[in-house]
Amino acid sequence: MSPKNVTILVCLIVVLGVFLYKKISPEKNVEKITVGIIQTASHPALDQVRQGFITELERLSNNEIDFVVQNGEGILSQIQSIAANFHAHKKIDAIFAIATPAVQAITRMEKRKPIFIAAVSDPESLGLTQNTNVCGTTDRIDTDAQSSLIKELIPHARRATILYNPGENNSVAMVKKMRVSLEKQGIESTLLGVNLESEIAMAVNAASRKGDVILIPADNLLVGAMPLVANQALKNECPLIVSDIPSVTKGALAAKGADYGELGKETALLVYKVLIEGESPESVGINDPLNTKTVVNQKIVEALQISVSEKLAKKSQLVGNEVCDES
Amino acid sequence: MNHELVNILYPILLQGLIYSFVVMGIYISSQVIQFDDLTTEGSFGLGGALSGALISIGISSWLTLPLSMIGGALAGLITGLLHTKMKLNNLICGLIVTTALFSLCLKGAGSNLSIHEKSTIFISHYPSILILVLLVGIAFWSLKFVLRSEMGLLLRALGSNPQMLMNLGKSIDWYKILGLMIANSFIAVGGSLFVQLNGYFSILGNIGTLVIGLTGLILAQIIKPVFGIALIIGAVFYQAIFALTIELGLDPIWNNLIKAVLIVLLIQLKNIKKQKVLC
Repeated sequence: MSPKNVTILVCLIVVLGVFLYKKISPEKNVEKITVGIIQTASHPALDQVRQGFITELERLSNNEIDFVVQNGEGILSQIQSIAANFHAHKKIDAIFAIATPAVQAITRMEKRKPIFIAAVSDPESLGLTQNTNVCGTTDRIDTDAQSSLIKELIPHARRATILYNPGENNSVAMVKKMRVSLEKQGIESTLLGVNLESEIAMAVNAASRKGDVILIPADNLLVGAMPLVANQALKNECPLIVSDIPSVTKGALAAKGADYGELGKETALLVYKVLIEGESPESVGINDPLNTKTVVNQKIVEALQISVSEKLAKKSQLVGNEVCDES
Repeated sequence: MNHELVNILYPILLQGLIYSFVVMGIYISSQVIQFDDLTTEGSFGLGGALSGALISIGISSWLTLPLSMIGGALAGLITGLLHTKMKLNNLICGLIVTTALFSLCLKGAGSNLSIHEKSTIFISHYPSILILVLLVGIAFWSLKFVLRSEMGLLLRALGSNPQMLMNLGKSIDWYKILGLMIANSFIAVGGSLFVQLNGYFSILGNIGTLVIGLTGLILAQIIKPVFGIALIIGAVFYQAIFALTIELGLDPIWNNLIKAVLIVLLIQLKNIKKQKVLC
C-alpha cells in the first residue's frame, strides 16, 4: 500500500478508536445529572432558547448539571437518530427538546426519562396525552393583545396581511388564532404564504400592497429572514408587527410576544423543579409563557411617522435597531 | 453496557433499512436507466403524506403501502411524461414534480400530522426489525426478479445502450417512464415506512432524502458496484456514519463536517481496493 493509503487507514482507525474508547470508558460522573438537548435546527430564536436554558440551569444548580447538545439541522432522519441516541444512553438522565419536530421524535421514543419541551405552539396536536413524562413551555402568544396593539399603533388599519409559511405547524396554528383576534378588532385579514427564502422579498412587497399592516407569527422561515422582511416592509412604508421580541431589534415596528431567551429560562426552572426538587413532570405540565412583552422599535416609529400614545409607551419597551443597541 | 450498545445500534438499523428503499429507487433511476432524477424528495414526501393522511382517517396501515407505491409511481409517470413528451430537461422535470407535490402534501396531510395513537404496521406482536427485514426482502427480491426479466434487460439496455432499444423496435420513452415509475414507487414506500415508524408526518420530512440516498448508493458501490445486498448495507452504513458523528459528542456545529470527512475516507477505501486489484 502507498503511504497515502496508510494515512487514511490510520485516520479511520483513530476515529473508530475514539468511538470505542468513549463507549468502553466509564465516563459518567455519578454525582452529576446529564441533560441531553435536542434542537430541531439552527435558528436565532431556537438558539436563544438553548442559551437561556443552559445559563439559567447552570445558575440554578450551581453548575451541577452536564449538557450534551445536539442539533438536527432540520433533517428529520438526523433528529430521529439523535433522539434514538439520547434514548439509548444511560448517562442521559433527562431530555430538553426544542421546537416541534424534535419534540415529536423524542416523545414517541422515550416514555420513561423526563422530557422538557420548549418553543412548541400547539402541544395538543402532537398527541402527547399518552406521555406522562413530558412537561415544558409553549411559545403561544396572546393574539388578542397583539391585535389591540395593532389598533393602538395604527388606528387607521382596516386590512392586515398575515405573512407565514404554510409548511410550519406552529405558524398555521398561530395564524388561525390571529385571524379571530383581528376580526374582533374589526380588521380584515388576508393570508399570504411563502415556502422559500427566495420568495420572501416578493411576498413582502405583495403583502404591503394588500394590507395596511403586515403581521407575522413566530414563523421559523420568516423570523430567520427578518432583516430582509423588515427592510422590504420599510421600503414600502408598511408597518410590520411580529410575534417574537428579537425581530423588533432587526427592524420590525413592534412585537407582542414571547422572549425566546426567557422561554429557555422558564423551562430551566421546570427542569430544576423536576430533577432537583423531585416534582413529577405530569404535575408541572405544559405551560404558556409567563411574561410576554410589548416591544416597539423607536427608529421605525420615527421613519413611519407613527405616534405612540403615552399609555402605550408606558407599558412597552422601546428599542432601537441592533446596531445602535451595541453602543 | 451491551444493552446500551444494542439500543444505540437498533434504531440505526431500522432507519437504514427504511432508507434502503430510497437507495434502491435511486439505483434504478441513476444506474439502471441512467436518468438523474430529482423527484426523489417529492415522492418520499408523497409516500409519507399519503400514509399519514390515510392512517389518520382510519384506513389499514398495511393498505397504505401499496397506495403509497401507486402515488410514487404516478409521480414518476409525470416526471417521465414531462421529460419525454414535453422535452423538458430531466433535472427540471424532477424539480417541478417535487415542487408541485409539496403543495399536494400540504393539502392532504397538513404541515404536521401526528399518528401517535393510531395503529401503524410497526405496532404489532412482531418486532419492528422483523417487519422491516421482511418488507426490504420482498422489495429486494422483486426488484432482482424484475431486473432479470426481459423487461429488466431492456431497462438496463436503455441506460447503457439506448441505440439497441431502437434497433429492437422498442420505445425509449416508454422504458424511461417505466423505470422512473418503478424507482419512485420504491422511494414512496420508503417515505410511508418512515412516517409510520416515526409516528408523525412533517412537510419538512423529505429534506435531505436525496443526499442520504445518493450517499448510501455510493457507499453501496464501494462494497459491490453492481446490484446486490450492498444497496441495503450502504443505506444502513450512512445512518451509522451520522450515529457515529453524534456518538463522538463534539460541538454539533461540526457534525456536518465530520460526516463529510467520514464519507470521503470511506470512498478512499474504494480506491485502495481498486489499486490492489491492479497490482
